[in-house]
Parts: sequence; structure tokens; C-alpha cells
Amino acid sequence: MRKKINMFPEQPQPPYTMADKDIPAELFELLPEDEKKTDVINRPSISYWKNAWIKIKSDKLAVAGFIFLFIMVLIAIFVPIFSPYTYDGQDYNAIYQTPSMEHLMGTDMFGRDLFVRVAYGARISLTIGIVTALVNMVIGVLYGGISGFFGGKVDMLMMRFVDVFAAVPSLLYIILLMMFLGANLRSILIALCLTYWFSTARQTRGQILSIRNQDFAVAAKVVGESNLRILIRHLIPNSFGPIIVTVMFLIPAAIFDEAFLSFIGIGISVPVASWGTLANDGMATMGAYPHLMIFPALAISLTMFALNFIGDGLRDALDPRLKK
Amino acid sequence: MAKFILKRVAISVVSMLLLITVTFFLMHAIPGGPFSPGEQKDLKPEVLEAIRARYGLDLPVTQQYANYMKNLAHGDLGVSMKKTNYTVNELLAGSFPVSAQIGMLAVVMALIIGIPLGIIAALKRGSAADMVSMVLATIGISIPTFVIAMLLMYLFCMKLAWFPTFGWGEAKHFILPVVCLCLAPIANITRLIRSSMLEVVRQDYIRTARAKGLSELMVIGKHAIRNAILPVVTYVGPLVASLMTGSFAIERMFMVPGIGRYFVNSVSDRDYTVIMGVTIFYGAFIMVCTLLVDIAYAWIDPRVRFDS
Amino acid sequence: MSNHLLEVKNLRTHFASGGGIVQAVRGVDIHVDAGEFLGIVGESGCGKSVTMMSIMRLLAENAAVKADSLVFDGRDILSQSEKTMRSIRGNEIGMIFQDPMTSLNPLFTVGNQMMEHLRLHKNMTKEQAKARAIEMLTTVGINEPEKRLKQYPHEMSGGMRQRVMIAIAMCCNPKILIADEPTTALDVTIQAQIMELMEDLKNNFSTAVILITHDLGVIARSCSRVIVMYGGLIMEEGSVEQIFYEPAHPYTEGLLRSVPRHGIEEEDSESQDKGGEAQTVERQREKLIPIPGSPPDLMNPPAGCPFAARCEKAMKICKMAPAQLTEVGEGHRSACWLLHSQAPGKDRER
Repeated sequence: MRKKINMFPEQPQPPYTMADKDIPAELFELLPEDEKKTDVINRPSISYWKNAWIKIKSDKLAVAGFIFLFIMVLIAIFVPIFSPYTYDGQDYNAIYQTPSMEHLMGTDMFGRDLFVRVAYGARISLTIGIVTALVNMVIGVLYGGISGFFGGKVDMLMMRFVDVFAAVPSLLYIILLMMFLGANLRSILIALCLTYWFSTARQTRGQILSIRNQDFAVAAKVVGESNLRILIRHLIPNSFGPIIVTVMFLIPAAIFDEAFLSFIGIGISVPVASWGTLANDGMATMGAYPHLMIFPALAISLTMFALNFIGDGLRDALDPRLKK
Repeated sequence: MAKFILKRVAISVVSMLLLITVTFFLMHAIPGGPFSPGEQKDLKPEVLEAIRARYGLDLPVTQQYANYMKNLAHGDLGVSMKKTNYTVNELLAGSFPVSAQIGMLAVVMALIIGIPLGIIAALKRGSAADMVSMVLATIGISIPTFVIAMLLMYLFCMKLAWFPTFGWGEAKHFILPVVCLCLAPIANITRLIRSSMLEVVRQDYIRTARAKGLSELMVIGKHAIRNAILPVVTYVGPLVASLMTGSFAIERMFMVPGIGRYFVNSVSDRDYTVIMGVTIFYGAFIMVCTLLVDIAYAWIDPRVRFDS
Repeated sequence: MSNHLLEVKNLRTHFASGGGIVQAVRGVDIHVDAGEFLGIVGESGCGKSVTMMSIMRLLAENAAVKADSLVFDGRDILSQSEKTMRSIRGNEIGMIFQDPMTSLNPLFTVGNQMMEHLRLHKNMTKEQAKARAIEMLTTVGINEPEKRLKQYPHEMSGGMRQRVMIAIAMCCNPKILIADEPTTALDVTIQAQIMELMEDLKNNFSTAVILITHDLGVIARSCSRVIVMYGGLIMEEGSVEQIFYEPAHPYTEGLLRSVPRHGIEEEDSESQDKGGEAQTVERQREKLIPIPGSPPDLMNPPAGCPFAARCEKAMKICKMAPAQLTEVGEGHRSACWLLHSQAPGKDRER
């Protein structure tokens, strides 16, 4: 909410007006050249990336998202290493335990420690998110970049190909691929990497096309820079911000899809635990042991919040079209 | 306009052929099958052989493909290999209306809640209403549908016992699935409308409309909304798609006898004809939706009409 | 009570922005009489457009407007209800903008956009409004007006869209037409046609025109009176002859030196064809001198004359206090310390 501010602050009275008749004569001497400059606009110019950094630092939600994600990464790496339990270690003397000091999140029907299983799920989810986003960025940027850069027939062919594939929801392809490849982490990664890059490719192409016709790219061409050099030196860096934003939103989307696939039973299969499988298992017994459902659900939801906050923050910071 | 639609139809047809072919060969490339010895241990090998021959599974894959395509051209999706008394057409005819009911309700809910919420958020930017709708939108985007469904089920079915956890046919069975399905779309629509509205109210033609002395109701209600709604129109096509696919989980959780449940079951059962049938149906349905949305877009935005 | 059609006294418009308060307009006096063609000239960011938007009360929420008086046609603009303001906008004051490509709503037909405020302000039926719209399109020189009414903006060229904008602004017979850089986005040949059209309209409908521009050529050809603005203040005002032949402010002089001067000689366009050629050639020998430096930061406006930092005749007093507008001839006023009785002669060499 906007603070009420005094829009018309008191202005200092000028020492003299035109009506004054006794102004000291020396004030009518010429103003020395070096005293003129002081009034000229002298705001420091801030580079695009520095400006973005300042913006993202001041975005509390994005910072909170980063901190949460950092903690999640630490948990994913260290908890399975240092915990006395393993993700598949069963203990029939300690089934369906509620959270306690021994088992921070309780245990499931086989007496497996839920905290380790959730931490292990974090490994899977974060790996899927990051690998998918990176692979898709590379494929998408290359594909879209080439398409947009060459234009004409090449562009038309390449984009028709994308149109044809993208017309079908990617989840259909992913499910079919999962059937073919078997239910494990590797299959999910392959399936997601094969189907996610369309949007990045389309966006990169759009960016390149719009920038290609802007003055600085035309100027570079006039000066005689080669096409490839223009692409590398000018076009890719100039379209990088929006592309990073798109890729950033691919991470939660990939984690989302893995959780969903595992939840409906065609993703990661037992005894390996992903958040989706854990949630699915937890649902079966949630009437009696709600903690088995709540902790995996919390892990997914909080990570999604964090990633979306970071994505929003990055978009506000990097996308010049959304400047306030 | 005609050229534009024709182009879209052509892309859809090619996409469909591709989808059918990819699905068919992927499915047959998977080791095992509906009647492999590993699946049906209680049947003698000779009997299995006979069954396989009955479904044409003993033929070379290319031959099977040709046969399938021939039948498909006549609108025949074949017979279910697991539910032997049903044709795939019958299964679809029985389950699609159920999915469509929930899906349409969710789409309508999403539009009538999401659009006003986004407009209010944009017009009263920085106000409490804006904050609330943005918080709701972030929740809707961040929490997976199936997690929301689990929580609502736990709260309303188990703790409060307001609704039954499963069953079908009465209004009380509809409510939770529809609510779960429409939350994410509401969030997306709210965000879309808000940002496009913020963009539109800065445009020169809005200033022109104000300079003509139009009331704020006319400026926003006529000139701004029509422009701001364009991104939502584009979203509605994929929205229908996402509601249909999103319902995979919801239909399974609430035991809704819809098309999504058949698909998930047929995938784990290796019911070839049902997998093919549902995939083709999904694909075709979604493409028709997208096409309708494209036409609607062109109807709203004259620039698209004349571009091609 | 003033007898001017529009009288603005000591108008100040400030904007709240992230870093502080931008003082876009810092005390401006303007008056316009019925049927007058007033030009307001200045660089971008000098406050000329903001002044007009303040008069229309069309600024965004982060703006605050104050004035000692802001009277249009006997009514105090700042105290009117929003409803009354709406009946003034588009009805008694028409406005057209710089970029005709974006000023029309792309999703509605031209006819729709012409008729909606006719029906609102003049209570016309659909048929009456349509007849009036066709009449206006004909007036602004658009062929086949019936057909054009059914077209969308993107089916028209920039020049034609600006004609449509003028038709929209003029169709309620406003008392004032505010044209904010109406020709800047157009080709030079189209520019001349649009200006000609505005002159015709002014003459035929006795509408007062306020033309905002940074193009002195446009001012010279059409305006009778000129206001020169800089840094949110009026630097000089006078008749077009006074401003072009006897500029009294160093900023006006600078502006005149920085553009090719041909406009004022071209008033009689027929003589330009033959006899004008020699004149133009001679004029071209005159050197164009740009004004060095850039305009002041209005978030921290200078205490003195805003132009002092770029002025070659600046004196010490110029940095300390702003000069008030001072009479230099009939209707000719300039805000420069050189006009003070104690100031040395204008021709002091640097």
C-alpha cells in the first residue's frame, strides 16, 4: 500500500526575483563553465545484471525461497548420509510410529524412517528438476536459436515439427514413454527431457526474431559482423534474461510431473521413495496415520512455493517488459 | 480466416497421425503384452496362442498397424483385451460423459472466479484485495492438485465427514473433485488476467478512451477487458487439456468412473486397444478444443483474422 | 472572471515515483482564446504533455495537480466532479495523441470507436451517430467513409488512423482540440497533410487548437502564438513572429539554431516552388548548432533557471534563482535574467 506523502513539499524561497532592484553586481558576471555542470543529471548507470541482482535481493519472498531451497539441498545431500536409518531399512518393531525424537517424521507400515525417505525424495525431485531444466534449456535454446536465426524455410520446417509434437499434451507422451522405459528415475528423466523443450524452443525463437530486427542487430550487420558472431555476441545475451525465467519455471513443472506420475503409480516405484510415491502411500492410511501423508505433502508444497517465489522474483528482475 | 483454420486443421491431423503411430509402435515395442506367458500363468500356451491369434497379435507389427488404421478409419477402436465383453467405443461412451461433466464444471468455475479476481487485483493494485488474490493464486499454482485433493479429502471426508470419500451419481460426489480440479486453473487465470490487465491499462488506446470522456465502466468493461482477456482465451485450450489429464489423479482418488481412470488402469494392464483408444480420443478431443479456441481468438482479435 | 476560453495559473504537477517526487510542471501560466492556434514547444520531458494531461485531469493516480486557477469556459476544472469532467472530455475538449498506431483500440471497428462517445455526449441514436461519423470522416478527408466505419484500425495506414483520431476528437464539436505531437510518428508528407487538416478544422469550426510539439517547423506553419517550455517552466511566449524573429530567451535562440529554418518562409507554399529554391539554398549555408548538454533532472530541479547549465550566456544569478516571465513586447514575455534592469547588454561576448 502506498504511503501518504506530501506531494508538494515546501520549496526554498529564491533569494532574488526579477522585481528586486538591488542585486549585487557580481551576480551578473558570467557563470564559469565548470560551475555549470553540477546540475546535469548524474545518476550512476547500472548494468542490467547488477540491476537484476539489486532487485532480487530486495524481493523478500524470493530470498526466502532461495534460503528454503538451500536448506532442502543440504537435507537432500546430508540426511541420507548421516542418518542412522536408510530409506529402505525396515523395522517391524517400530511400525506406524508418530513423530518423535528418534523418528522426526515417524515411521511407515514397514517401520521405515519417514524423514530419511522424504530426504531421499528430495534428492530425486531436485535432481529431476535441475537436470530437466538444464537439458531442456540447452535443447530448446539451440533449436529455437537456430530456427529463429536462419528464418525462412528452415524456420518454418523446424517450427512445424514443434507444432505437431506440442499439439498433444506432453503428459500423454510421458506416460507412454514411461510404459516403454520402465518405472524408474532414469526413465522419468528421459521422458521429461524429450518432451519439455518445446516451450523453450518457441520462446527462444520468438526472442531471437524480435531482437534480430532491432536496431543494434541491424547495426552490427551493417558494420559487417558475421551472422554467427551476431548470434553469439548480441542475440543470445540479449534474450538470455527471459529464457532464464522460462527455464526457472521448468524446474517446478518437472518436479510436479514426477510427483504426479509417481502418485498415480507409473513414476518411481518401490522401495525407492519419491515425494509422489510417499504421498500415495500416505493417502492409503491417512485416516489413521495422517502424518504419513502430511510430511510428503508439505515437502512438495513448500518446495513448490520456494521455486515459484524464486521464479517470480527472477521474472520481475530479469524481464524488462515487466518493469514497473 | 478460412486459410488460418485450414492450416490449424492440417497441423492437428498430422499431429494425430504422429501420436497414433508413436503410441502404437511404442506399445508394441514393450516387452510382454496382454497375453504374454508371464502375464497369464494359469492358461496353457496353446490357449494363449489362440487368444493372441483372435486379437491379431500373432501378425507382424506392421500388419497389425495397417489393420488398426483401417478399423480406425471406420471409427472402430477395437475390443478391450482385458474387459472382454466391451468394445473400446463402449468404454469411452460410458466414461467420457462423467469426465466431461466434472471437467466442464471446473472450467466454468475457473473462469467465473478467476477472471473477476484477476481484474480486481489489477485495478486495485497493491490493495488488500490484490494481496489476497495473489496469495490464493500462489497457493493454487504451488500446491499440486493431488496434494490439495488429499488434504481436502482428509479434512472434509474423514474429519468432518461432510462428503463421502467415494461413490458416484449424486451432487455430493461432484463437489470435491470439481473444487480440486478448478483451484489450479483459477490461480493461473487470476495471474494471467492480472498481468495482462496491468499491461493493457497502460496502453495508448485506454488513454484515448478516457480522453473521449467514457465512464470508467466503459473504459475498463469494454476497452480494457476485451484486450486483457486474449491471453486467457489462449489458455483455455490447454486448460481443458490439463483438466482432462489432471483428472487422472482426481478420478483415481475419488473413484470417479471417468475416462482418466480407465487410462491409468489400461496402462498398467497393458490393454493395448484401450490405451490406443483413450490416447486417440484424448488427442483428438484436445486438438478440437485448441482449434475452437484459436477460432474464438480470431473472432475476438480481428488482427489474427487478416494476418494469414 | 477571465474572458479566456482556458486559463491556467501557476499549474504544478508532481509525480510520486520510486525514488522521490518528480516535479514535472513547476508553475505554468497558459491561456487560450476561442479559435486560437497555440503552439507549445520544448524538448521531451519539459512538461508540455503533462500540462495538457493535467488540464484534462487524465493523469495516473501517482500524480498530484495544484494550480492557483484552472478555468475552462468559466468552470474551475480542479473542483469539478469526475462526472462533469467526463462530459468535458471528448465533448468540449478533444484530444489526439502522438502515435496513431497505438491510440486506437485494435479490437473494435473505427465506427464503433467514433460513435460510442457521440451517443454518450450528444444522446444520439445509432443512426444519428453513424451519420455524424460518416460526415466527420468525410470532413477529415477519408474516402468511402461507410466502408471505413466497418474496418478495424490495423486495416488503415498511420496517416489515415491519425485522420480518424482527429475525426473522433472533433466529432462532438469541441471548443478546444489538444494535439499532442500529432505528426511526430508520421511520414513528412503525411505530416503536412495532417497539419493542413487541423488548420482547416480550426478555421471552419472556430475550435481553439493547442499543438504540442518539439518541431519548430510545425509551429511556424500553423500557430499564431507560441509557448516555449523547458524543465517544467515556461521560458518564453509570444506571437510566432516574435518567437522566430526576436527570440528573447537563450533557450529559444538555441532551439532556433538547432533546426533548419525553412518553416516560416514556406507559409506561402506556392512561392516556395520557384522563388523559394534560392532561399532554401541560402538558408542551408547557415550552420546548425545543437544545444550541448541534457535537460535537468526534475526529481531534483535546479534552484535557478533550469537552462542555466546549458546556457552560454548564463550568469551567476541564473544558478541561484529562477527568472520570472518579463514583458519584452506586446504579448511577448521571456523568463531570463538578461532582461533584468541591472543585467549587462544582451550582446556581451563570452
